Amino acid sequence: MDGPKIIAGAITGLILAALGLVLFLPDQSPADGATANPEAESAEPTIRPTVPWITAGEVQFESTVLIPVEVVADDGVVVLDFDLATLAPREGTSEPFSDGPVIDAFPERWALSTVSGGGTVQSTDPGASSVRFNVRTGLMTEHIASIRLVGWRVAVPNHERIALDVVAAVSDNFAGGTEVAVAIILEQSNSTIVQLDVDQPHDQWNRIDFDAVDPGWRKAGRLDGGLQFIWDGLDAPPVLVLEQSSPTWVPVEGDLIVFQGADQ
Amino acid sequence: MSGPDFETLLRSPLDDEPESQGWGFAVLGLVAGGAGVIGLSLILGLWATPDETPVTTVADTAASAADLSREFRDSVPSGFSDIGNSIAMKPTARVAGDAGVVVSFATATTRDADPETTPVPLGGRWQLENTAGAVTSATRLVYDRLHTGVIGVEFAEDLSDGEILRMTERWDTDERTGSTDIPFTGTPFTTVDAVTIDLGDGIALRLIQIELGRHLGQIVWALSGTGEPTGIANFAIAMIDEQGATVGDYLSMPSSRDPTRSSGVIDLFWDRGFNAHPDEGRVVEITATVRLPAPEPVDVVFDLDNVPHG
Repeated sequence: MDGPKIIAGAITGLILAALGLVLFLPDQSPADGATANPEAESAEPTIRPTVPWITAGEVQFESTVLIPVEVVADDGVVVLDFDLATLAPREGTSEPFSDGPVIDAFPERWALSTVSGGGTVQSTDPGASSVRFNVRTGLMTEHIASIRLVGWRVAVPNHERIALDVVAAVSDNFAGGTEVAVAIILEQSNSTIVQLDVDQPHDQWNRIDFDAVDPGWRKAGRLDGGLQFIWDGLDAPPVLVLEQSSPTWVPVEGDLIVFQGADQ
Repeated sequence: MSGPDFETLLRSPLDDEPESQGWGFAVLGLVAGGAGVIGLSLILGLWATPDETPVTTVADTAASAADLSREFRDSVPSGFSDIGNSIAMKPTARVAGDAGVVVSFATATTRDADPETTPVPLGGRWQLENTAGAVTSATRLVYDRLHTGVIGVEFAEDLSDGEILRMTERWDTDERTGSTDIPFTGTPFTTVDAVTIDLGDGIALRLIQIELGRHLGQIVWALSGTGEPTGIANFAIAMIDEQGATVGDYLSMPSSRDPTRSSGVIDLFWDRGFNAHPDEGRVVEITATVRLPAPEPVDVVFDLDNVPHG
């Protein structure tokens, strides 16, 4: 008769005690750069810049300054968050629709090495603000020997041109792989509209913008994702010359330490 | 009522000895369970003080990592050369151009300068010197409209071993401004005659045609006057109503960053959406800013040995 009550009491006691431990156990999360998961370890490897130049803990490549924000190791994944700033002068270059300074070199290739001699590499796209490494489960930040930036891409001005006959189905490619094809030609009463299909490479680094060389062509978007060039008047040129208006991103090799483990 | 009935009525559950004994064991079990969990947590070291929590501290090691990766105390960024006027440059890549090879340069401010307030160098002059002393001048400069911090220097022939790349001239900015008002009759608006703005020193900016629409507009411009001037033009366009108040503005951005051009076309964008209509304006207030290249002699040699091929 008393056995079930004793067992129920003991189970309730276990539950209440465990609940008390969870509620009143001292906070074990790091003071800065903490994550919600107490199993994750984080490290803040930098000092935020107070002047617009290079500060200790930051990494410069070309005119870009990489500012490490946080390294988190959690459940088989190491994530390095970072900000990018530029040293390029920019007085008099404000753009009406710009979100901020334009970055002329972006990080691309990374290497993580562990104190046990292991390692892994990873790549990031332009505009990325973090790099994520898949590592063995249980690996913590103290097991990381270093995270290094081993490659980046730098913007190179390029005005590559292609010439398209204004004839349906004619196509050509830019060197980076962007294919442009004349889809439809619409002869209006007082204008000519050339609709283009644009096939961009999947590689983010090789996607480009382009414009018509002749300012008489007005560029506009199409609802289906292509572009159209409009010529006002009845004297549209027979050839549409297109010029790359965005830079070519050239890969550069390097070896810069972004995060170094405490024991190094 | 009989005696047993009264006993039944007055009886408390606590009077039931066997039941009371059972709940006591339950409480005992509860205490024992709690003690067990706490004891186990102590054994496993879960009940640690904050000072005992393992936290990775890396601030000092980060500084040493920076020391390893670059000389951040230098007056110019790593790999850059000082070209004066708080600007440093570095050749970053060489790529095949339309007619030869383009050496691309990155620009950066020196330690003493703020990038926000340091003017972008408009360009310069470069020359290649081969081992026999022959000199080849750059044929043109290549600019990116958005990436103003990079400049391409094109040479007619590819580079050969041992050649030196020398910068002989830096183009600072000689900024000129001028303004004019023209009457406005509503969109669509197109000027018939050119409008001239005096920029001083015998240099004139001619606005060959101004087109203003409900959302978009365009200005065709040309420089003329002393010394065949070239530069980068930009405009601020304000629509002024009958009371002299600003109805709205057309925003603009240069279509080219090339300072060697004497003419160009600039697109305009009405900035007020549907909140205000440009047709409420009676006067177009045009303020022009032209950045003319101001050459300054320099002598800076750049190392091309480690410049990657694109």
